[in-house]
Amino acid sequence: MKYDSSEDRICFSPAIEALHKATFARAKPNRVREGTRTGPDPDGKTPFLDAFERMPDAPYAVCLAHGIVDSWLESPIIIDPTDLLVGAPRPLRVLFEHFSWGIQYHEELFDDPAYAPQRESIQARIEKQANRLFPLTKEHIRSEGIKIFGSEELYDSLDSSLWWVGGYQGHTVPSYPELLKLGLSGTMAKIDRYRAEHPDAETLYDALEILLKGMSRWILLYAEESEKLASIDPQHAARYRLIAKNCRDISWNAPRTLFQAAQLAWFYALWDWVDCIGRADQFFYPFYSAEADPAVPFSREEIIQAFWLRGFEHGFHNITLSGVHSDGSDATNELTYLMLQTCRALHETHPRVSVRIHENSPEELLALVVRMWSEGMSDPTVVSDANVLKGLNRLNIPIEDARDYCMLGCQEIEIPGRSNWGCEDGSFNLAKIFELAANDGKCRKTGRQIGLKTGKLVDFHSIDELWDAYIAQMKFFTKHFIDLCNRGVEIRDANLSKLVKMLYTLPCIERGLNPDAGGPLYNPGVVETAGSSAVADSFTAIDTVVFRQHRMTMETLDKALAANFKGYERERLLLLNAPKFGNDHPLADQYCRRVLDAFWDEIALYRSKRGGPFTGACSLLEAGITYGKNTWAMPDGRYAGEPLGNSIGPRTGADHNGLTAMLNSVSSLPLDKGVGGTTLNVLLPAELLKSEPLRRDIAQVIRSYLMNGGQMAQITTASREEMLDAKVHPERHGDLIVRIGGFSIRFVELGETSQDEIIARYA
Amino acid sequence: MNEIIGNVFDIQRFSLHDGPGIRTTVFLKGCPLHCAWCHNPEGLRPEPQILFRPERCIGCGDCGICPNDAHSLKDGLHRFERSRCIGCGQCAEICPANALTLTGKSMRVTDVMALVRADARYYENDGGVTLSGGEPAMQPDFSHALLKSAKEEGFHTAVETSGCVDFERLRPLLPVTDLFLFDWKHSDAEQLMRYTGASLERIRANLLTLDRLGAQIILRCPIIPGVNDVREHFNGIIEIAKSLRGCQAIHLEPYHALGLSKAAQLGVKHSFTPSTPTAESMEEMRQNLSQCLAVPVMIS
Repeated sequence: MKYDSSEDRICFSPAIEALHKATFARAKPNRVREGTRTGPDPDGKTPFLDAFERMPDAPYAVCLAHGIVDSWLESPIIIDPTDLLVGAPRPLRVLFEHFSWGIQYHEELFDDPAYAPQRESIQARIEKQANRLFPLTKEHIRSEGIKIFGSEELYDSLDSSLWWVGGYQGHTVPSYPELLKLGLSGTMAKIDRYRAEHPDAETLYDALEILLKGMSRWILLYAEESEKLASIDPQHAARYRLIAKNCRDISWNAPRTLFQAAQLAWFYALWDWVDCIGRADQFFYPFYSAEADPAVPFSREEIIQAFWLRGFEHGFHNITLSGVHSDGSDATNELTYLMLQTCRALHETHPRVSVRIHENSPEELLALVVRMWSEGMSDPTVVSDANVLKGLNRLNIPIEDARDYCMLGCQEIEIPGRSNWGCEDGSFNLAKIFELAANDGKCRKTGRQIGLKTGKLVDFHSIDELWDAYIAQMKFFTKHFIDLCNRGVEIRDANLSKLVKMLYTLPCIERGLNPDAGGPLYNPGVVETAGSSAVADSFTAIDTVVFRQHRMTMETLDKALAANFKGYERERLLLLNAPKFGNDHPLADQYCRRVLDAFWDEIALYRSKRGGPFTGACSLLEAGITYGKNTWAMPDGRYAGEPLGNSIGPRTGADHNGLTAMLNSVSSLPLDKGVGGTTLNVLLPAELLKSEPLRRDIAQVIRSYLMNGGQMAQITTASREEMLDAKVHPERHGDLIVRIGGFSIRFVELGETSQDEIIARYA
Repeated sequence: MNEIIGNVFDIQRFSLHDGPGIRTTVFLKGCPLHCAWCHNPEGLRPEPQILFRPERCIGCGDCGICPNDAHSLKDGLHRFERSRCIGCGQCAEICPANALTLTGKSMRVTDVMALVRADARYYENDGGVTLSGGEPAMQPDFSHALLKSAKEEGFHTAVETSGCVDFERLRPLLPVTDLFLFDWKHSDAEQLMRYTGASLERIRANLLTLDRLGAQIILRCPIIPGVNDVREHFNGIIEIAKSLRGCQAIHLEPYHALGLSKAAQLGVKHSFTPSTPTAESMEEMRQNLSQCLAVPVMIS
């Protein structure tokens, strides 16, 4: 078939159909990424603890590397007769390493029968090794925070009301092109070459060598197991022998065929926690377009689909397709379309897919994307090359590298294979800053003095005076926020949390530095914001109602806010009906620009501990709900505790001027200063996409938005009625996919607050 | 010319159903017809009117500003004496709850064009501006000036018309209109007069004249169960469509009840409440018409 035609749909071959069925049978019903438990059940083992105990005098890096290797070698080798590509994750264990913080302690697993009987003995062993297992903990951030604010209680009260400091997941995209070019042996040669240049990094190189050789041994375990299966299961012997040979071929040497490349990529992805993999249609393409190995009985299409199904089963976070080559020409290829068609045929929430759109993107590409939305998928997210490249230029990233950017994490951005952007270093609630600025630095809920004494509402005689107070609070807290975020970097650095990623993050090996210590080429800091639209709408409402229309005094406003609008419904409605961001209204949009400019310019003055400047991001939804709970009533008419707006878009339900007006508002924002990734959730109810002319119109709107200042759009196509029914009858709507923050998610798996927030977007 | 003032009751951006592409639809106030099923009752009368939504009223009494004392609060109940209202809009201006809103606004061509231009980036080749109503031909000077401005800026222009006006009001629009969305509501003169107050003769003559003068036309046929979902009318649609040179398509528009709530807000009593046609019956009509016509028949 022609992959680029929206009219044609892909049909799985019998081999892929069998694999598809087997994969779905294995997949756990709960597919929320962070809660995913795929792979084997907990097994009661403690490889990390064992490694540290076994080598009491060895450096942390070496023990960590051995722990990682052992944790894989001690995991079950699982091969199914339907498999084309093999490799299963490790069982969950009380201790495991993760790229976010280093070795993580999951005490809740002591409730699992595999660990329950050993609870006390393991706890005692961990306690004994704690200093070695966890060189730094989050206490490193907290103790600094308590020092700054002089009070434990005060500092803790800021957590998840004003900010969230020190980082989250810490996604980065390793260089799959480098992995596939060098294989493990080539990487070993590179380590040997640079080891001599950096004697101070000796233990780091030792650790990388342990990882590489350990990974190779683990891959051989798959070969051996497969050979064993071939000897006892004659019916599937051919398949098993093929898998065994493929594993042996790449267990040390670089891949030469697509089949080998896909297998090696999958093995490494597993060690990298099936994190984001970057531009898969680009790095697989040389193998895809090369001559096929006649000894391999699978087509190129089948191999790519087998890889995709692995990504589905274990939840690849983000795959980026299309975009441009380093010379700026269109990078869309046959693989782009094959991957999209595979994604379309699966109709799943994972792997999540982003498609880069630029001025020369083929019409067929966007047509296929819109067609997928029309069929009820929220993938792919579309991203604007024009806007992102402008933002990357601000960070002084050379254009050739900038053109290679990809999406990762929820909806963040980086240059794959040579970056650590923190992803993210923290998030910051601008609405809480506003609350403090409008109340002399006091929290309205607790009355506690948190911020600077910048005056009460009644002290301000112009909107500019209020603005100045807001800026003063924002600058004050930003300084401490950045400081604390950098403490998070110190933790990751000390804990070598990205040791596995370091193998393929350029030029860490060349520099002898780990990814949290400036090893990568690009090291900006990224911080998320929440509440930008709430703050903009609050300024707009006060400016309009108090200072322009003179329909309310600051005194009354102050009382109304203090009362959470109880007894002040008239005042609340006046504020609520003032212009709101998201309607192409000049005043409201201008305030939103100023709010974001102010914060993003401020953070750009600071540098990440990793070395690069800070840039903004905004792709929160759950955080908008959490922060909202801890933010008092606002002059935009919002009650205390209500959710703040979602991501970079308008306050939920505040845009009533149509999609184009909303897109105009958003694309007028300085999104290039938020090149960490600013998500916009766009509702396109299925009836807007039901016919070909309508889909063409929508494609045109989306393209115009992306070419004129918009950064990205992620789509929800569910209708309000469907969602309301899904709340009552979740069993009937298992396939309802919606978008929150950066996630595609099954509606029925969301909590009620999140469900209501999404439904309210339709109001 | 751009200072010419029109009476506009709504401007709807991101319209997908009023002509090709992405459009901005400008609704002009005042209509010569009074269709029983009218879905834009606020477009009927030419003068500004107050829409009142009692369920939004919080009883604050701010509307006491009315110079004619049309609003009164008694026992917490808001009474609006419409007969006293002169449509000055002061109450709507001040109502914090948007329980009172003014429909009908004097706008200059330049004001409207600024809004039309705001979405220019989404129009590309085929999108643009549509005049609807009400009846755009009731304000021929304004409509002409607006369409001319839009054309000069390269936007596609469309006019939705009932056709029930003196042709001299339609004629000036012809050179500045790329597409006429021409209503064809009933093919029986008596029935048409009964339900809409319009003259079929005049409409037919105007349609044929527009066609003869080279207009591009889409026929828009509202389907009102119990009124015009009859074989004779479908035959009438086929007959008139076949007699046109510039007919591009037929749009069937199923009745919807959205006009009823607006009528209530205007204080207009409505006794005509037909049912909403089912999707299946609409599709059947579409197919039946399609078989007899060379032009596409669509449900919008």
